Amino acid sequence: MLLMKSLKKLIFNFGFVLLFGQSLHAASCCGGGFAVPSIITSDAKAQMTTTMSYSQIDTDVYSNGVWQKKNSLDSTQLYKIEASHIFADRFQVGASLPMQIRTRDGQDMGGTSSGLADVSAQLGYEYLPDWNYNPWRPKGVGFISLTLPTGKSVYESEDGLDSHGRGFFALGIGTILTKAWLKWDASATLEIHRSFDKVISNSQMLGNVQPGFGNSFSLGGGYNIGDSRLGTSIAWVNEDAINVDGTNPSKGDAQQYATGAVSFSQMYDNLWAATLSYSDQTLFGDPTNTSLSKSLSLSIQKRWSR
Amino acid sequence: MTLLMRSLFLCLFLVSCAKPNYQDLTPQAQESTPQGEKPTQDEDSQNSNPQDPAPEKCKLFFGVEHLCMRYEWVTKPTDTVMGVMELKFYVQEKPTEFVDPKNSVFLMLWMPSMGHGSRPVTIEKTKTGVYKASKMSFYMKGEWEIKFQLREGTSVTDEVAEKINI
Repeated sequence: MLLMKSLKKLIFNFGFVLLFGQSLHAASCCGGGFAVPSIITSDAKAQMTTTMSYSQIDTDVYSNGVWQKKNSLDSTQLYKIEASHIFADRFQVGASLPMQIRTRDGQDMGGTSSGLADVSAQLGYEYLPDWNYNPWRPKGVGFISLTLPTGKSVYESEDGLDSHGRGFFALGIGTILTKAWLKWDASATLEIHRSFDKVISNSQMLGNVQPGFGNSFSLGGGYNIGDSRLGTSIAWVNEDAINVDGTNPSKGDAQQYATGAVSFSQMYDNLWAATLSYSDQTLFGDPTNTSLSKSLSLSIQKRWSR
Repeated sequence: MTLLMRSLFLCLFLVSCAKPNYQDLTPQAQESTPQGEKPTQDEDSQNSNPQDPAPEKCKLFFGVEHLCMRYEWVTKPTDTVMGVMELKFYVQEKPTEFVDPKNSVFLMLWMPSMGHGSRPVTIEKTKTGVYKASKMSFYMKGEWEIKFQLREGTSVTDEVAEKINI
Protein backbone atom coordinates (compact mmCIF):
# COMPACT_ATOMS: atom_id res chain seq x y z
CA MET A 1 0.00 0.00 0.00
CA LEU A 2 2.80 2.34 0.96
CA LEU A 3 4.71 1.24 -2.14
CA MET A 4 1.74 1.99 -4.39
CA LYS A 5 1.26 5.38 -2.74
CA SER A 6 4.93 6.21 -3.28
CA LEU A 7 4.73 5.06 -6.86
CA LYS A 8 1.65 7.18 -7.54
CA LYS A 9 3.41 10.24 -6.14
CA LEU A 10 6.47 9.40 -8.19
CA ILE A 11 4.45 9.04 -11.35
CA PHE A 12 2.69 12.34 -10.65
CA ASN A 13 5.91 14.26 -10.25
CA PHE A 14 7.61 12.51 -13.09
CA GLY A 15 4.72 12.90 -15.51
CA PHE A 16 4.60 16.62 -14.87
CA VAL A 17 8.28 17.18 -15.47
CA LEU A 18 8.29 14.97 -18.54
CA LEU A 19 5.65 17.11 -20.21
CA PHE A 20 7.39 20.30 -19.28
CA GLY A 21 10.75 19.21 -20.59
CA GLN A 22 9.39 18.46 -24.05
CA SER A 23 8.33 22.01 -24.70
CA LEU A 24 11.83 23.46 -24.57
CA HIS A 25 13.06 21.90 -27.76
CA ALA A 26 12.44 24.89 -29.99
CA ALA A 27 15.10 26.24 -32.28
CA SER A 28 15.35 29.84 -31.19
CA CYS A 29 16.22 31.44 -34.45
CA CYS A 30 13.20 30.87 -36.54
CA GLY A 31 9.99 31.13 -34.60
CA GLY A 32 10.18 27.89 -32.69
CA GLY A 33 10.06 24.23 -33.54
CA PHE A 34 7.61 21.37 -33.41
CA ALA A 35 6.67 20.92 -29.76
CA VAL A 36 5.95 17.48 -28.34
CA PRO A 37 2.39 17.72 -27.04
CA SER A 38 1.23 17.96 -23.44
CA ILE A 39 0.31 14.33 -22.75
CA ILE A 40 -1.10 12.94 -19.51
CA THR A 41 1.17 10.09 -18.46
CA SER A 42 -0.04 9.90 -14.88
CA ASP A 43 -3.36 8.68 -13.46
CA ALA A 44 -4.91 12.13 -13.61
CA LYS A 45 -8.21 12.76 -15.39
CA ALA A 46 -7.18 16.21 -16.58
CA GLN A 47 -4.35 18.64 -16.24
CA MET A 48 -3.55 22.24 -17.03
CA THR A 49 -0.02 23.62 -17.19
CA THR A 50 1.12 27.22 -17.30
CA THR A 51 4.71 27.78 -18.36
CA MET A 52 6.82 30.91 -18.32
CA SER A 53 10.28 30.73 -19.82
CA TYR A 54 13.13 33.02 -20.75
CA SER A 55 15.73 31.98 -23.28
CA GLN A 56 18.67 33.75 -24.83
CA ILE A 57 20.58 32.84 -27.98
CA ASP A 58 24.15 32.02 -26.99
CA THR A 59 25.67 30.76 -30.24
CA ASP A 60 24.86 30.60 -33.93
CA VAL A 61 25.89 27.48 -35.84
CA TYR A 62 26.32 27.71 -39.60
CA SER A 63 25.47 25.01 -42.12
CA ASN A 64 29.13 23.97 -42.27
CA GLY A 65 29.18 23.31 -38.53
CA VAL A 66 31.13 26.43 -37.54
CA TRP A 67 30.06 27.95 -34.21
CA GLN A 68 29.99 31.69 -33.63
CA LYS A 69 29.26 33.28 -30.29
CA LYS A 70 26.37 35.72 -30.32
CA ASN A 71 27.67 39.14 -29.34
CA SER A 72 24.32 40.91 -29.04
CA LEU A 73 21.17 40.24 -27.06
CA ASP A 74 18.52 38.10 -28.73
CA SER A 75 16.07 36.73 -26.21
CA THR A 76 12.64 35.15 -26.15
CA GLN A 77 10.02 35.01 -23.43
CA LEU A 78 7.45 32.27 -23.84
CA TYR A 79 4.12 32.05 -22.03
CA LYS A 80 2.20 28.87 -22.68
CA ILE A 81 -0.99 27.28 -21.47
CA GLU A 82 -1.50 23.57 -22.08
CA ALA A 83 -4.51 21.48 -21.20
CA SER A 84 -5.33 17.81 -21.59
CA HIS A 85 -8.32 15.68 -20.67
CA ILE A 86 -8.92 11.94 -20.57
CA PHE A 87 -12.00 10.43 -22.21
CA ALA A 88 -13.13 6.85 -22.76
CA ASP A 89 -10.66 5.74 -20.08
CA ARG A 90 -7.55 5.47 -22.28
CA PHE A 91 -8.00 8.26 -24.85
CA GLN A 92 -7.07 11.88 -24.26
CA VAL A 93 -7.27 15.19 -26.07
CA GLY A 94 -5.27 18.29 -25.48
CA ALA A 95 -4.23 21.67 -26.81
CA SER A 96 -1.44 24.18 -26.40
CA LEU A 97 -1.61 27.98 -26.67
CA PRO A 98 1.76 29.77 -26.67
CA MET A 99 2.54 33.48 -26.68
CA GLN A 100 5.99 34.78 -27.45
CA ILE A 101 7.84 38.03 -26.78
CA ARG A 102 11.07 38.44 -28.71
CA THR A 103 13.68 41.09 -27.91
CA ARG A 104 16.72 41.88 -29.98
CA ASP A 105 19.48 44.45 -29.58
CA GLY A 106 20.93 46.19 -32.56
CA GLN A 107 21.73 49.57 -34.00
CA ASP A 108 19.25 49.20 -36.85
CA MET A 109 17.42 45.95 -36.30
CA GLY A 110 16.76 45.96 -32.58
CA GLY A 111 13.36 46.02 -30.95
CA THR A 112 10.69 43.96 -29.25
CA SER A 113 7.84 42.03 -30.78
CA SER A 114 5.10 39.97 -29.18
CA GLY A 115 2.57 37.67 -30.72
CA LEU A 116 0.85 34.35 -30.84
CA ALA A 117 3.09 31.40 -31.68
CA ASP A 118 1.90 28.15 -33.30
CA VAL A 119 -1.12 26.56 -31.64
CA SER A 120 -1.30 22.77 -31.47
CA ALA A 121 -3.78 20.05 -30.60
CA GLN A 122 -3.31 16.35 -29.95
CA LEU A 123 -5.11 13.07 -29.57
CA GLY A 124 -3.50 10.40 -27.40
CA TYR A 125 -4.10 6.75 -26.57
CA GLU A 126 -2.63 4.71 -23.75
CA TYR A 127 -1.68 1.63 -25.72
CA LEU A 128 0.49 0.16 -22.95
CA PRO A 129 -1.32 0.61 -19.62
CA ASP A 130 0.23 -0.28 -16.29
CA TRP A 131 -2.78 -1.92 -14.67
CA ASN A 132 -0.51 -4.25 -12.74
CA TYR A 133 3.03 -3.64 -11.64
CA ASN A 134 5.80 -5.01 -13.80
CA PRO A 135 9.45 -4.14 -13.10
CA TRP A 136 10.30 -3.78 -16.78
CA ARG A 137 7.17 -3.04 -18.81
CA PRO A 138 6.82 0.70 -19.31
CA LYS A 139 3.65 2.70 -19.62
CA GLY A 140 3.17 3.79 -23.21
CA VAL A 141 1.04 6.58 -24.64
CA GLY A 142 0.86 7.16 -28.37
CA PHE A 143 -0.24 10.45 -29.87
CA ILE A 144 -1.14 12.26 -33.05
CA SER A 145 -0.47 15.97 -33.04
CA LEU A 146 -1.52 18.79 -35.34
CA THR A 147 0.28 22.13 -35.40
CA LEU A 148 -1.42 25.17 -36.91
CA PRO A 149 0.61 28.07 -38.36
CA THR A 150 -1.04 30.72 -36.23
CA GLY A 151 2.24 32.50 -35.56
CA LYS A 152 3.79 34.81 -38.15
CA SER A 153 6.68 33.03 -39.84
CA VAL A 154 10.00 34.22 -41.30
CA TYR A 155 8.37 34.08 -44.74
CA GLU A 156 5.90 36.81 -43.78
CA SER A 157 8.40 38.74 -41.67
CA GLU A 158 10.71 41.43 -43.03
CA ASP A 159 13.26 41.44 -40.22
CA GLY A 160 12.69 38.15 -38.41
CA LEU A 161 11.92 39.92 -35.13
CA ASP A 162 8.14 39.49 -35.44
CA SER A 163 8.45 35.86 -36.50
CA HIS A 164 6.82 33.76 -33.78
CA GLY A 165 5.93 30.56 -35.63
CA ARG A 166 7.29 28.09 -38.16
CA GLY A 167 4.68 28.98 -40.76
CA PHE A 168 3.59 25.45 -41.73
CA PHE A 169 0.78 23.06 -40.97
CA ALA A 170 2.40 20.00 -39.43
CA LEU A 171 1.13 16.55 -38.53
CA GLY A 172 3.07 14.43 -36.08
CA ILE A 173 2.90 10.97 -34.59
CA GLY A 174 4.82 9.67 -31.64
CA THR A 175 4.98 7.84 -28.37
CA ILE A 176 6.01 8.47 -24.77
CA LEU A 177 7.28 5.56 -22.62
CA THR A 178 7.63 5.98 -18.87
CA LYS A 179 8.79 3.75 -16.07
CA ALA A 180 9.27 4.23 -12.34
CA TRP A 181 11.18 2.16 -9.79
CA LEU A 182 10.84 3.22 -6.17
CA LYS A 183 12.59 6.61 -6.14
CA TRP A 184 13.91 6.50 -9.69
CA ASP A 185 12.13 7.13 -12.95
CA ALA A 186 12.99 7.09 -16.64
CA SER A 187 11.31 8.16 -19.86
CA ALA A 188 11.75 8.08 -23.60
CA THR A 189 9.92 10.04 -26.28
CA LEU A 190 9.99 9.49 -30.01
CA GLU A 191 8.09 11.49 -32.58
CA ILE A 192 8.15 12.15 -36.29
CA HIS A 193 6.29 14.91 -38.08
CA ARG A 194 5.63 16.17 -41.57
CA SER A 195 5.35 19.87 -42.33
CA PHE A 196 3.37 20.75 -45.41
CA ASP A 197 4.23 22.97 -48.36
CA LYS A 198 3.25 26.61 -48.24
CA VAL A 199 2.72 29.13 -51.04
CA ILE A 200 4.48 32.45 -50.43
CA SER A 201 3.70 35.65 -52.31
CA ASN A 202 5.51 38.83 -51.26
CA SER A 203 7.84 41.49 -52.63
CA GLN A 204 10.76 39.05 -52.41
CA MET A 205 9.33 35.96 -54.03
CA LEU A 206 6.41 34.02 -55.44
CA GLY A 207 6.74 30.31 -54.93
CA ASN A 208 6.34 27.18 -52.90
CA VAL A 209 8.23 26.59 -49.65
CA GLN A 210 8.79 22.85 -49.11
CA PRO A 211 9.74 21.94 -45.50
CA GLY A 212 9.80 18.11 -45.37
CA PHE A 213 10.03 15.78 -42.36
CA GLY A 214 11.38 16.25 -38.86
CA ASN A 215 11.83 14.07 -35.82
CA SER A 216 12.89 14.14 -32.20
CA PHE A 217 14.04 11.63 -29.63
CA SER A 218 14.53 12.26 -25.96
CA LEU A 219 15.66 10.37 -22.86
CA GLY A 220 15.11 11.49 -19.31
CA GLY A 221 15.42 10.35 -15.75
CA GLY A 222 14.83 11.56 -12.24
CA TYR A 223 15.18 10.92 -8.55
CA ASN A 224 12.43 11.56 -6.04
CA ILE A 225 12.94 12.80 -2.49
CA GLY A 226 9.62 12.97 -0.72
CA ASP A 227 7.46 15.47 -2.62
CA SER A 228 10.42 16.78 -4.61
CA ARG A 229 12.07 15.54 -7.75
CA LEU A 230 15.40 16.17 -9.41
CA GLY A 231 15.33 15.43 -13.10
CA THR A 232 17.49 15.54 -16.19
CA SER A 233 16.93 14.92 -19.89
CA ILE A 234 18.46 15.14 -23.33
CA ALA A 235 16.47 15.63 -26.52
CA TRP A 236 17.76 15.45 -30.09
CA VAL A 237 15.88 17.22 -32.87
CA ASN A 238 16.29 16.97 -36.66
CA GLU A 239 14.51 18.95 -39.35
CA ASP A 240 14.77 18.36 -43.10
CA ALA A 241 16.08 21.14 -45.32
CA ILE A 242 13.56 23.74 -46.43
CA ASN A 243 13.62 24.01 -50.22
CA VAL A 244 12.04 26.78 -52.25
CA ASP A 245 10.51 26.46 -55.69
CA GLY A 246 9.36 29.46 -57.72
CA THR A 247 10.79 32.82 -58.76
CA ASN A 248 13.66 32.35 -56.32
CA PRO A 249 14.48 28.62 -56.16
CA SER A 250 16.95 27.41 -53.56
CA LYS A 251 18.03 24.26 -51.77
CA GLY A 252 18.12 24.64 -48.01
CA ASP A 253 20.18 22.89 -45.35
CA ALA A 254 18.99 20.47 -42.68
CA GLN A 255 18.81 21.58 -39.06
CA GLN A 256 19.76 19.61 -36.01
CA TYR A 257 20.39 20.37 -32.37
CA ALA A 258 20.15 18.79 -28.92
CA THR A 259 18.77 20.19 -25.68
CA GLY A 260 20.02 19.14 -22.26
CA ALA A 261 17.96 20.06 -19.22
CA VAL A 262 17.98 19.79 -15.44
CA SER A 263 14.95 20.45 -13.30
CA PHE A 264 13.64 20.60 -9.77
CA SER A 265 9.97 20.07 -9.07
CA GLN A 266 7.89 20.28 -5.93
CA MET A 267 4.46 18.75 -5.45
CA TYR A 268 1.70 20.20 -3.24
CA ASP A 269 -1.38 18.32 -2.02
CA ASN A 270 -0.95 15.70 -4.76
CA LEU A 271 -2.72 17.95 -7.27
CA TRP A 272 -0.40 20.92 -7.72
CA ALA A 273 3.21 20.99 -8.79
CA ALA A 274 5.79 23.59 -9.60
CA THR A 275 8.94 23.00 -11.63
CA LEU A 276 12.00 25.12 -12.17
CA SER A 277 14.14 24.05 -15.10
CA TYR A 278 17.34 25.07 -16.85
CA SER A 279 18.09 23.93 -20.39
CA ASP A 280 21.13 24.38 -22.59
CA GLN A 281 21.49 23.66 -26.29
CA THR A 282 25.26 24.23 -26.41
CA LEU A 283 26.29 21.13 -24.47
CA PHE A 284 25.13 18.14 -26.49
CA GLY A 285 24.75 16.85 -30.00
CA ASP A 286 26.21 17.95 -33.32
CA PRO A 287 24.23 21.08 -34.14
CA THR A 288 24.06 22.53 -37.61
CA ASN A 289 22.23 25.43 -39.28
CA THR A 290 20.61 26.66 -36.08
CA SER A 291 20.86 29.00 -33.12
CA LEU A 292 21.64 27.55 -29.68
CA SER A 293 19.98 28.95 -26.58
CA LYS A 294 20.09 28.72 -22.81
CA SER A 295 16.75 28.88 -21.02
CA LEU A 296 15.20 29.15 -17.61
CA SER A 297 11.60 28.11 -17.05
CA LEU A 298 8.97 27.93 -14.38
CA SER A 299 5.86 25.80 -14.72
CA ILE A 300 2.81 25.43 -12.54
CA GLN A 301 0.52 22.49 -13.05
CA LYS A 302 -2.91 21.65 -11.68
CA ARG A 303 -4.31 18.15 -11.96
CA TRP A 304 -7.70 16.62 -11.43
CA SER A 305 -7.96 13.06 -10.20
CA ARG A 306 -10.14 10.41 -11.80
CA MET B 1 19.25 -1.21 -10.79
CA THR B 2 20.38 2.15 -9.41
CA LEU B 3 23.97 1.55 -10.46
CA LEU B 4 22.84 0.43 -13.89
CA MET B 5 20.72 3.56 -14.35
CA ARG B 6 23.54 5.81 -13.23
CA SER B 7 26.02 4.08 -15.53
CA LEU B 8 23.69 4.28 -18.51
CA PHE B 9 23.05 7.99 -18.02
CA LEU B 10 26.74 8.71 -17.53
CA CYS B 11 27.61 6.90 -20.76
CA LEU B 12 24.85 8.74 -22.54
CA PHE B 13 26.05 12.15 -21.39
CA LEU B 14 29.67 11.40 -22.32
CA VAL B 15 28.78 10.13 -25.79
CA SER B 16 26.37 12.96 -26.50
CA CYS B 17 28.62 15.85 -25.56
CA ALA B 18 28.89 18.57 -28.18
CA LYS B 19 32.19 19.47 -29.82
CA PRO B 20 32.11 23.24 -30.21
CA ASN B 21 33.78 24.49 -33.37
CA TYR B 22 34.16 28.19 -32.62
CA GLN B 23 35.75 30.27 -35.35
CA ASP B 24 36.01 34.04 -35.72
CA LEU B 25 34.27 34.71 -38.99
CA THR B 26 34.38 38.35 -40.02
CA PRO B 27 31.92 39.46 -42.70
CA GLN B 28 33.31 38.47 -46.09
CA ALA B 29 31.67 41.39 -47.91
CA GLN B 30 34.45 42.44 -50.24
CA GLU B 31 34.54 45.44 -52.51
CA SER B 32 34.28 44.17 -56.07
CA THR B 33 37.10 46.56 -57.05
CA PRO B 34 40.47 45.17 -55.97
CA GLN B 35 42.31 47.34 -53.47
CA GLY B 36 45.26 49.46 -54.62
CA GLU B 37 44.48 49.59 -58.35
CA LYS B 38 44.62 52.99 -60.02
CA PRO B 39 41.84 54.07 -62.37
CA THR B 40 42.30 54.26 -66.10
CA GLN B 41 41.94 57.90 -67.10
CA ASP B 42 39.58 58.61 -69.99
CA GLU B 43 39.94 62.19 -71.32
CA ASP B 44 36.45 62.11 -72.86
CA SER B 45 34.58 60.84 -69.78
CA GLN B 46 32.21 63.34 -68.25
CA ASN B 47 31.37 61.57 -65.03
CA SER B 48 34.45 59.54 -64.20
CA ASN B 49 36.03 59.74 -60.77
CA PRO B 50 39.85 59.79 -60.96
CA GLN B 51 39.94 57.83 -57.70
CA ASP B 52 37.94 54.85 -59.09
CA PRO B 53 40.31 51.96 -59.81
CA ALA B 54 39.83 50.15 -63.12
CA PRO B 55 39.10 46.44 -62.62
CA GLU B 56 41.10 44.00 -64.67
CA LYS B 57 37.94 42.22 -65.70
CA CYS B 58 34.25 42.73 -65.31
CA LYS B 59 33.39 40.76 -62.21
CA LEU B 60 29.65 41.26 -62.22
CA PHE B 61 28.25 41.25 -65.74
CA PHE B 62 24.65 41.70 -66.84
CA GLY B 63 24.49 39.74 -70.06
CA VAL B 64 21.25 41.10 -71.49
CA GLU B 65 22.22 44.77 -71.23
CA HIS B 66 25.96 44.06 -71.64
CA LEU B 67 26.76 46.08 -68.56
CA CYS B 68 29.35 45.57 -65.86
CA MET B 69 28.76 46.46 -62.25
CA ARG B 70 30.94 46.88 -59.23
CA TYR B 71 29.96 47.68 -55.68
CA GLU B 72 31.58 49.14 -52.57
CA TRP B 73 30.34 48.84 -49.01
CA VAL B 74 29.65 52.22 -47.42
CA THR B 75 28.55 50.45 -44.21
CA LYS B 76 29.43 46.78 -43.93
CA PRO B 77 26.51 44.77 -42.55
CA THR B 78 26.33 42.52 -39.53
CA ASP B 79 23.36 40.70 -38.00
CA THR B 80 22.52 43.89 -36.06
CA VAL B 81 23.69 46.64 -38.44
CA MET B 82 22.08 47.24 -41.82
CA GLY B 83 24.39 47.45 -44.79
CA VAL B 84 24.74 50.33 -47.24
CA MET B 85 26.49 49.93 -50.58
CA GLU B 86 27.22 51.95 -53.69
CA LEU B 87 26.66 50.37 -57.10
CA LYS B 88 28.34 51.57 -60.27
CA PHE B 89 27.31 50.44 -63.75
CA TYR B 90 29.61 50.74 -66.74
CA VAL B 91 30.47 49.29 -70.12
CA GLN B 92 33.45 46.96 -69.89
CA GLU B 93 35.54 48.98 -72.33
CA LYS B 94 34.99 52.20 -70.34
CA PRO B 95 35.21 51.28 -66.66
CA THR B 96 35.34 54.84 -65.37
CA GLU B 97 32.38 56.15 -67.38
CA PHE B 98 29.17 55.19 -65.60
CA VAL B 99 25.93 54.58 -67.42
CA ASP B 100 22.36 53.93 -66.31
CA PRO B 101 20.87 50.51 -67.06
CA LYS B 102 17.81 50.55 -69.33
CA ASN B 103 15.74 48.72 -66.71
CA SER B 104 15.22 49.40 -63.00
CA VAL B 105 17.83 48.39 -60.47
CA PHE B 106 16.60 46.03 -57.77
CA LEU B 107 18.39 44.19 -54.96
CA MET B 108 17.11 41.10 -53.23
CA LEU B 109 18.59 39.46 -50.15
CA TRP B 110 18.15 35.71 -49.81
CA MET B 111 19.27 33.14 -47.22
CA PRO B 112 19.47 29.78 -49.08
CA SER B 113 20.06 27.57 -46.02
CA MET B 114 16.81 28.74 -44.41
CA GLY B 115 14.79 29.47 -47.57
CA HIS B 116 13.73 33.04 -46.79
CA GLY B 117 14.52 36.60 -47.74
CA SER B 118 14.59 39.90 -45.91
CA ARG B 119 13.00 43.32 -46.03
CA PRO B 120 12.99 45.21 -49.36
CA VAL B 121 16.23 47.08 -50.07
CA THR B 122 15.97 50.83 -50.75
CA ILE B 123 17.56 51.86 -54.06
CA GLU B 124 18.36 55.50 -54.77
CA LYS B 125 20.09 56.95 -57.81
CA THR B 126 22.80 59.42 -56.72
CA LYS B 127 24.18 60.29 -60.17
CA THR B 128 24.39 58.81 -63.64
CA GLY B 129 25.21 55.14 -63.38
CA VAL B 130 25.71 55.30 -59.59
CA TYR B 131 23.14 53.95 -57.14
CA LYS B 132 22.98 53.71 -53.37
CA ALA B 133 21.45 50.60 -51.79
CA SER B 134 20.47 51.00 -48.15
CA LYS B 135 18.48 49.23 -45.44
CA MET B 136 20.15 45.94 -46.33
CA SER B 137 19.03 43.77 -43.45
CA PHE B 138 20.89 40.49 -42.87
CA TYR B 139 19.11 39.68 -39.62
CA MET B 140 20.39 36.15 -39.19
CA LYS B 141 23.95 34.83 -39.04
CA GLY B 142 24.95 32.53 -41.89
CA GLU B 143 25.47 32.65 -45.64
CA TRP B 144 23.28 35.04 -47.64
CA GLU B 145 22.98 35.83 -51.34
CA ILE B 146 22.76 39.37 -52.67
CA LYS B 147 20.86 39.22 -55.95
CA PHE B 148 21.49 42.25 -58.15
CA GLN B 149 18.58 42.42 -60.57
CA LEU B 150 17.49 44.57 -63.50
CA ARG B 151 13.72 44.59 -63.80
CA GLU B 152 11.16 45.75 -66.31
CA GLY B 153 8.11 46.24 -64.17
CA THR B 154 7.96 43.12 -62.00
CA SER B 155 9.83 40.91 -64.46
CA VAL B 156 13.49 40.21 -63.86
CA THR B 157 15.38 40.75 -67.12
CA ASP B 158 18.90 40.22 -65.80
CA GLU B 159 20.47 39.01 -62.57
CA VAL B 160 23.86 38.42 -60.95
CA ALA B 161 24.44 37.20 -57.42
CA GLU B 162 27.11 37.48 -54.75
CA LYS B 163 27.46 35.39 -51.59
CA ILE B 164 28.15 37.00 -48.24
CA ASN B 165 28.79 35.47 -44.81
CA ILE B 166 27.27 37.29 -41.86
